[in-house]
Amino acid sequence: MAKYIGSRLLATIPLVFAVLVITFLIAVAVEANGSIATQICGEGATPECIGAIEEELGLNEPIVSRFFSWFGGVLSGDLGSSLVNQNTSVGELIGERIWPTLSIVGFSLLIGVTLGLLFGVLGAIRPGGFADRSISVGAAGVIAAPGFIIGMLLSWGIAVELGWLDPVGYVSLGESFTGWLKSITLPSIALSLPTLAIVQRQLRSSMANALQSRYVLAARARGVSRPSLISRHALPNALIPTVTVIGFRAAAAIGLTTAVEIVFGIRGMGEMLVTAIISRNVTVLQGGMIVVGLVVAAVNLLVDISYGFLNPKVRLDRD
Amino acid sequence: MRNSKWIRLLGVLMALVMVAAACGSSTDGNAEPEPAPETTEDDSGGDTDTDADAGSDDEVEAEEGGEEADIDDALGNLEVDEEAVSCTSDSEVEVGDYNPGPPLNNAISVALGTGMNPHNDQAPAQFSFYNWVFEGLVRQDTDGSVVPWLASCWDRNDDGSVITFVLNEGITFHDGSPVNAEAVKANIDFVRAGEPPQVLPPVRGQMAIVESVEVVDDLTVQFNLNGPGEALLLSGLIRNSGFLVSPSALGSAGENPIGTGPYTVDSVNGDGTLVELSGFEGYWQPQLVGAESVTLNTLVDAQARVDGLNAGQFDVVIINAPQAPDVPAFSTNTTVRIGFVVTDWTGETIPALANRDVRCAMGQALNRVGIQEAFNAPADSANNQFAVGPNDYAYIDDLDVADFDIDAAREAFAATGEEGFEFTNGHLPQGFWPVVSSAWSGALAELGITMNNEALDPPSGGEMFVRLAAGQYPVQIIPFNEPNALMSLIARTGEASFNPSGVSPDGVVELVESAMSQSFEDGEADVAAAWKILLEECIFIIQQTLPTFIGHGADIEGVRHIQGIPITYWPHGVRKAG
Repeated sequence: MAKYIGSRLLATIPLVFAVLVITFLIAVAVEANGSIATQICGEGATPECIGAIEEELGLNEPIVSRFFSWFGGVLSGDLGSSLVNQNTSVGELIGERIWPTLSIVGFSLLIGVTLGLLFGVLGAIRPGGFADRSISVGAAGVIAAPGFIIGMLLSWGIAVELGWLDPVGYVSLGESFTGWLKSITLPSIALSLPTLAIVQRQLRSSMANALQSRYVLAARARGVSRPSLISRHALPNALIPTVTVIGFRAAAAIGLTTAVEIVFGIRGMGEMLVTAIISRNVTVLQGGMIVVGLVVAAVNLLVDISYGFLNPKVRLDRD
Repeated sequence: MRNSKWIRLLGVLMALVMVAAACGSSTDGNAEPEPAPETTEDDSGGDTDTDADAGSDDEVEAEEGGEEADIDDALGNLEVDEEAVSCTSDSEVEVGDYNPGPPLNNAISVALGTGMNPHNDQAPAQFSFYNWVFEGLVRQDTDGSVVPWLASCWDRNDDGSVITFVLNEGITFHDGSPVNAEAVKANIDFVRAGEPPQVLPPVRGQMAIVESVEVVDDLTVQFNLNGPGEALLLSGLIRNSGFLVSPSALGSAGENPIGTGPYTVDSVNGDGTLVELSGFEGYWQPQLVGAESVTLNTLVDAQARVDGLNAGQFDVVIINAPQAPDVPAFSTNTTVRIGFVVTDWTGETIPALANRDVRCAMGQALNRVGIQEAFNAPADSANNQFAVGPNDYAYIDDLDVADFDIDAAREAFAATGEEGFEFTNGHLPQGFWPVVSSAWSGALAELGITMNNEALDPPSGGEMFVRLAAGQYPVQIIPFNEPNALMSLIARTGEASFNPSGVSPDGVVELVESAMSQSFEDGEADVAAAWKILLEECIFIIQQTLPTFIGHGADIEGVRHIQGIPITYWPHGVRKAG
């Protein structure tokens, strides 16, 4: 197993390098499409102002030298300074922004995966039954409605009309645990629903297939109890494709959190990246993309490793 | 089987209802980069919260569900009450008790990303928020007039090339150092010589008319200008270049934002999206410190701001016009004017545009009222000149600009004998900009003129002004967002940056120079005359005015706008009851 994990780790290195190169190129492309100097100068965006700002920010340097300078900084953990406010390091900014995003994404996955698995099993036990059909209809509705619309409905209904939770803002975990939980509940629910629906549909499908398979029929013929049949025989096999879907959803949730953060007024990574793109704040954009890329790479790694645990064939092949 | 069909049908209906309900809910129709834009972002050009809708010429205070309660139509532009500001009259500052109210939480649409350094930020959308912390010798009042502030008065010499300010006594910066003539000189000298990132070139440019600053005595400071220019100096002083920073913090204002305002800075987060302030006990007019503490939260989504207000998380928020009925109370006033400028009026790239009759036929095809009605905005927000009403500075009461009449426009264009032509207009991609542009291009097509509309990328006010200065589009939709009608002329006539042709119709430059050599009041006729020429020559085709809407709780007192400045309010005296 250790060898398998090691090989997966090694395979992640080129992925991370590719993320760094692509990140730099995308940021350069964004900048080429309109310099931040223009944004800073605003209505006074004369060539003199733009030139002065570009020189100040070092945007006149050749791209190759900028890449190596930036790459060296990244390797040493220095992501540079925000181009808007050079008193703020990008690392510091990401440090402020990443916790709300991780909190929402993490909690949404917890909700989505837990309930998705539960409803998936429920649907698969009695395909075509009332529970299965009700869950399927709900899942279809949730998949059809974008997360930000669900978020707006939750914000209006639960926060504004009922007053049960705050509609906007984030309370840090260090400040108050209950405040933190309250502040991430609605955004996490909004973000979790698509995950819940997709995981449910995937598990229901693979579980229904598993329950129809010969080995399950054989186990049933041997007199294995129904709970044991589901939990020890069908579920582990049905989980393998589901874990892949969960991995995809985790990566997607990091991207989808942008809209949810904006709707709920949370200063997270997603909102930071959107603002950085609009303002052409290239260093912040680069830093944010690297962090998101690393998180996605880590999720992929975890998914790969989990295959090894769930499917002995995988780790035996590697070993 | 039959039951399952019904269940499926019910499920589909529920999903449809859910989506329909969501689509029908109030959303941010402005999509600010805010941003703006929040142009945003940014300036009133696009990053501000200039929403697509409405446009009231009047200041409206509404309580209890947004009903109009008071109309004040005395909105002017930059006006100066000569007698009130003259140092020959006596004026005393009212000094009350320091009695701040409960904390005040504000949700705004743009980030103060420069660490609260007022000299490193010039966008109109942002600069007004610095008023919580910084003040200048003068300020622009609710009605648009310039009034003394840290200065008690000012005088000018005969030709307006020497302006002398007398400061109020006993004012200190947050660090305890005195606001005296030396401090004023240090600030202006710093701005005039400053470089990025400490001083942005446009901010430095606001003081370009200053030749030197002299300390006359401890409380008297003299500005020697490089020509007549009282109005130009005042226009600069009410903006970022005029904000006074403690001399000890000049050069490090981003880290040490020390001003004279009613609040001191406790913290600014990394990207300026959360600013925390505390009441300044030593403020020179203590009664105007309305809250013991203040937060400025940047939320780009207007609906999130409104939700936060209605849930009691915020006290004062920037809203869009359609959201006014959804908040407990709101106030609004006019901010900027929007219109088209025929940058190629000399016909360099499109010869037909050199023909006045062609330009005016195009102007006659602009359905100002119809466009505003499409946005459910009041018909009187459709405006064809800079001044909004007859009481405004430089209002032209005999303006001869044809109202919309597509048939007459078609005939007028045909009478010119010009062939149809094609050009591109660049506009911000959000809010009303694309709608207005597309409405006009539809009408121009009736004349045989093809106007292609191109969304600006990046979608910012800065980009818009870069392209304007470069004359990239023969005709371009822009905001006329200077604080007053004279400033707008100065920026857009003769060899000014935003007049890419480099020339103006006969008489315009002379009128502007004449206006600058007089006091602001005395120069009004010249300013109006210059505007009249540009509008009747159909070089400027003004379309509408835009309002700012501020939503607040019913228990909030003292929200006042600053004329001409988008998405802002004057923070002094804003107070929460209780």
